[in-house]
Amino acid sequence: MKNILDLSLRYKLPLWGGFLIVVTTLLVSGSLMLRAYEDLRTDLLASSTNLSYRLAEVLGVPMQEADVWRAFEIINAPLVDSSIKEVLLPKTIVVLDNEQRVFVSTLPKMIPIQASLEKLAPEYAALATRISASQGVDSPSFDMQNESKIFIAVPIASEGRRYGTLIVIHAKDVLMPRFLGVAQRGALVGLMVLALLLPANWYWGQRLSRPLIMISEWMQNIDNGPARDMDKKVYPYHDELGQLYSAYWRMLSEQESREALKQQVVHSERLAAVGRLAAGVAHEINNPLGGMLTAIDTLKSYGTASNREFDARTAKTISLIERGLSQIRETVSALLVESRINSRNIEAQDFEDIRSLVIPQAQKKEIALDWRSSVSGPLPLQANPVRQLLINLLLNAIQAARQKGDVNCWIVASDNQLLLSVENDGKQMTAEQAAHLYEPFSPLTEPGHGHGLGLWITYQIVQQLGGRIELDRSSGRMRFLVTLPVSESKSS
Amino acid sequence: MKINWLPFRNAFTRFFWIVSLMASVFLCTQGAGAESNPRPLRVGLPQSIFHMQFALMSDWQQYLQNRLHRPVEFVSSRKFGDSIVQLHMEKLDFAWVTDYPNAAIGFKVRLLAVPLYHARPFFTSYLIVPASDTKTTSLFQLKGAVFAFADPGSNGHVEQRYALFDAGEDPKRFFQKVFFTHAHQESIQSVILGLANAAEVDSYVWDTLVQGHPEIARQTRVVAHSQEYGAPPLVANHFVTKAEFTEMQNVLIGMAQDPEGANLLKQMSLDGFIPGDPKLYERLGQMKKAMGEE
Repeated sequence: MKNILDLSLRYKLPLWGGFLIVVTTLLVSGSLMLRAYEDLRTDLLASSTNLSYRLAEVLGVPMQEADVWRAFEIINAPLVDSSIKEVLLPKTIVVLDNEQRVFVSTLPKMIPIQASLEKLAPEYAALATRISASQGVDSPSFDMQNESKIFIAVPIASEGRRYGTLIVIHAKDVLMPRFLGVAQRGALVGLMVLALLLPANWYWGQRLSRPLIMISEWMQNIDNGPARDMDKKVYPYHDELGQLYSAYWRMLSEQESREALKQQVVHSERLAAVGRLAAGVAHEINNPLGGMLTAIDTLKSYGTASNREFDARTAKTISLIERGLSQIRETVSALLVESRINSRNIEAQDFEDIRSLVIPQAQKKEIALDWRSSVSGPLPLQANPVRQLLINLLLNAIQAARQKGDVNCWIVASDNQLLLSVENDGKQMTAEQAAHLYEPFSPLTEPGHGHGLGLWITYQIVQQLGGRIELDRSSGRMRFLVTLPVSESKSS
Repeated sequence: MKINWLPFRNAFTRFFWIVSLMASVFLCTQGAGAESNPRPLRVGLPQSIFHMQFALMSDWQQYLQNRLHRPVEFVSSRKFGDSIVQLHMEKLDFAWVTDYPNAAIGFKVRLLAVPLYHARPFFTSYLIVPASDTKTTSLFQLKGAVFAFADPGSNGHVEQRYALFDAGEDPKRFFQKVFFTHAHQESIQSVILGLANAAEVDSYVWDTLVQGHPEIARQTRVVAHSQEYGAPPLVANHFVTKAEFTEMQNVLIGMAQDPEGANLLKQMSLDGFIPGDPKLYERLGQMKKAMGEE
């Protein structure tokens, strides 16, 4: 039973529906058949009582004249009358006299003349008792039945005198074939109804269960993201199921945005951690590095002051060490992204300078640079970091753009923020690349193009300036959007 | 035409002529009517003889009309006694009766003709039982049985009861139940159906019926034959004129000589008619008298 209840709705709905249809059909046709049987019996009684009264009326005179043969002819006539429906045809008709003896019967060999009714057969005894109880002239007719027969008794009376009783006997077994005929027809109609309803029910069940099954499958796979074959039009109605669907869509989009937020938080946390690590490492390196560079400088100065020339080999070595240390300092300082103290605010001219700086790079790749700037006067922002930031972004964009591609740079200054948008038509980032965006020594950097610190530095600058940087890939192009807050307090 | 040339001098003579003319016309039509359209002869027939043989009855009626040159009406009655009643009420001119001596009681009928069966003016009564009853060999074994007679007026009824009476039994109590079917064929039918345990049947009816319906002989068994009794005769009512009587008698007796009549007789399984003699029926009368019924 449990297994049946655990079945898929795809089968359970049509099965239940089919079960109900079958039960209903059985009940309806069963009650109709029962009704037909009752009607048949009622018809039989009515027609037979009618016949009995007609016969009883005619039998008055032969009874009076003790004319057995005439009485026989009268009662035998209905039995050979082919116009009476076979099922309504009496099996036997018996005429009793007032002493309850057989006056005549249509079955004389079984029910002979002058035989006493109660001694004939046990089944007649109850009838005899009942008849003797109603011996009046105006006694009503009555009917009795046992397992196999129906008896209808009618008094034979004429002009106030009772002459006897007419008994019409029907065999119940004639009702059965008739009833079976009715039942057969009923069953046929029932089967036709089933043949119509069951396929319709199956279709209905499938139709109803399909969206439920789909949504159930989607819910099970919700952790793997939206299903590929998802179609928002699969159930366009607004009933409870439709509400379930819209709830599902809502939940899915909430889950997606939550997931995105989570990833963003993780990303920035990671960047912060990397930043702290890089800064720590850089400081640890910077201190001995400064000492080492000072030492080299001192060595070079004192070496010349005592007029003792380094031999060529030593001089070469010292120069090598100095160059190496310088490179380390450059890298470390790049990593540290030190904000240089510069009180100068950025001006419109600064942006024009940047444009002039990058145009040669763009021309090298025959790139169309779309430059739009709404900055007209000085802004309360430090000029150097913003310049470095914009140059980094533009150089990256030019590098990423296709040959003969295009790069857009839009600079919009509003009341309290500066918006920088740098866009190129280069190839899209992979998800892997996007996950590690802004990290130092980013895998986005192609070999031979810088030290892979460009975006890292950009990110650090934006962070230091209290701004925000976003990568927008929605238009199919790579677009970095930097928002920097502009405030009087910061500039002072 | 007469009126045109007769002198109508005054109202009286005119009245006289008209009256005498009307009288003569009236008398003439009366006389002519008596000649061309005689009173139909009514003949009573018991059903027991021509049971449902309407075509044969019709043919015989036509034959009699042709021979007698006057209309003949057949009056078929269900009960044998009905013919007697109608004779008495002068509704019948002739009747074929089954209880001739009885028919003479209280009023005069004349014996007209007696049928010849196997060339003899006698019938017998058969005692029949169902073929399933193989034990009964005589009437006396049927004490307490249900017995079917054709009619209280049939000769067989007298014969069988007299046999019981003669053996010292009371014919009224010997059988448990007696009923009348008013036709020998139906007496046979009642035995076949089992309605009656036994019945008496005219030998004439039985023999002719068995020829047409051999299954009757298979379903019933003839146990005994009674003594011969006078065949049911045709009688004439007392008001029948001598001329009508003789004419009818001659036609009946002449049937055997004439091919058409012979054919009808063959269909009736009779050999002909003879004038007959009341002596033929003396024994029936004696039996009735012995039982105190006459």
